[in-house]
Amino acid sequence: MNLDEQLKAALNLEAEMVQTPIPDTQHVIKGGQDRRRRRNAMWAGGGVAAALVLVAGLFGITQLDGDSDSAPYVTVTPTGSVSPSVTPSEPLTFPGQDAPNREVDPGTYRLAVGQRLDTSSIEADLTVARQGWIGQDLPTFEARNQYGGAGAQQINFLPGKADHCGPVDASWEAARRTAATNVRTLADQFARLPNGTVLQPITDTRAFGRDALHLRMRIHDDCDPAAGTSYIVSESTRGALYIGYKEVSAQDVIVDLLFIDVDGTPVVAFYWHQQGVDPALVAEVTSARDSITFVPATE
Amino acid sequence: MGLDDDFTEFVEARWPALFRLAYLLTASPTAAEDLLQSTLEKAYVKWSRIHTMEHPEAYVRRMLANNLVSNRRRAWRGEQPTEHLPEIDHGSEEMPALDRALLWPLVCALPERQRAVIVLRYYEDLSEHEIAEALGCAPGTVKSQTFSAMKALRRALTATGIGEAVGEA
Repeated sequence: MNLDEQLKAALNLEAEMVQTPIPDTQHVIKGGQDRRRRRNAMWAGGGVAAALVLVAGLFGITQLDGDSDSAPYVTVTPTGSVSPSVTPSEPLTFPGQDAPNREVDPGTYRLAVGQRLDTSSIEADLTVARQGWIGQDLPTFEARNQYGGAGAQQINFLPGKADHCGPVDASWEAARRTAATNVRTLADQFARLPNGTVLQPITDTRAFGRDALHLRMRIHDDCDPAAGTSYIVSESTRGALYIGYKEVSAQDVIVDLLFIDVDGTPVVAFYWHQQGVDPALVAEVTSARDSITFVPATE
Repeated sequence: MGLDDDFTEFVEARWPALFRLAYLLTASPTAAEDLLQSTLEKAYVKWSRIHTMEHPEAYVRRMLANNLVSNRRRAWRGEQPTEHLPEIDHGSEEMPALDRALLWPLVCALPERQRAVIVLRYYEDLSEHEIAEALGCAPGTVKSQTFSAMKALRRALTATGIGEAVGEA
């Protein structure tokens, strides 16, 4: 008997030997109903963003397609002319570091983005439409072992050429560059990220109801996952933005960035995804990024 | 028959078989129950679609494997394959024959993804392509995981001195 046959026999025997508990079908159904209810509730709660998506649809705005690095950039500009069909509930919060691996339900989540000059918090609401998001301040989306993400961040530092691989340690800190405090210079800094290739140069646009700059980069992430390192695109007071969810060394990641000024503070709203991923994943992270609404200072 | 009745009938009929697969995937009765519970909850949400499939159980079995992968995705990023499987307690003089009691602990000691690949291949009889689809990875990844798992198992068996018993030494 060779090992293949032995394995087959051993697994079948082990499976037969294990004591099978009695199913609690009602518990399963209740769990399923709760999942469905949570999902529906989140959709209702995301009314404002859903309305924006509707506006985008009405105006014929299309999603960026999967892997087309040269696809035209399309921004969704909130018009404020469409009222949500339901009263939005309070935004949710991502579990963050308390449960960084927890998958969150679809819905609208409030992100801590940074701090204004007057030290008040900059926050933004982001809507995720599908299952598959992992809850963090810089949320990550996964589908079938392909990764992407979206969010908004006030940048403090960018990686330096000497060490762009996380974690943030003494070596990374020694190499890092301090982020510019105006939008255009910050965009220029991003355009010079280590291992970066500019796919779409910095252009003026409108986003989130504001003047904005758009930049799309391809980053070659050559950090070693076996050593626990991943490329860090940027660092803020809220943490570092890693783009290296992978199991193999070396990959290319597309990072799409919108630079805006929030009451005098430059902020980057972004999505990223591994190159070559399913177009549905790209659509999901694009939609999430474009759903962002910044919370007014007075709120 | 309503959808809930149909789902209930499915769960009650297929629970033992699904649990056995979940147990082999997780190597733990408790984890198996958790995995199966969460997978069936997800199946319930999609049941209107699943129950029209030609082989709903096959689909749910793939969901089980995929759910395991999804639950572990972040942990796997830093996972290091086990270089040295634990020593096997021969227990008695009657161990030269390779049996479940010897081989199963070795399978349990494999990294989770390697174990999943082995279970799907040798228990579920899935092809490399089908395993890749179930786990959401490339067929090449399945091949390399299988290779690593088999290498680790052979190494452990050789260390116990019974590799020759299975013609693998």
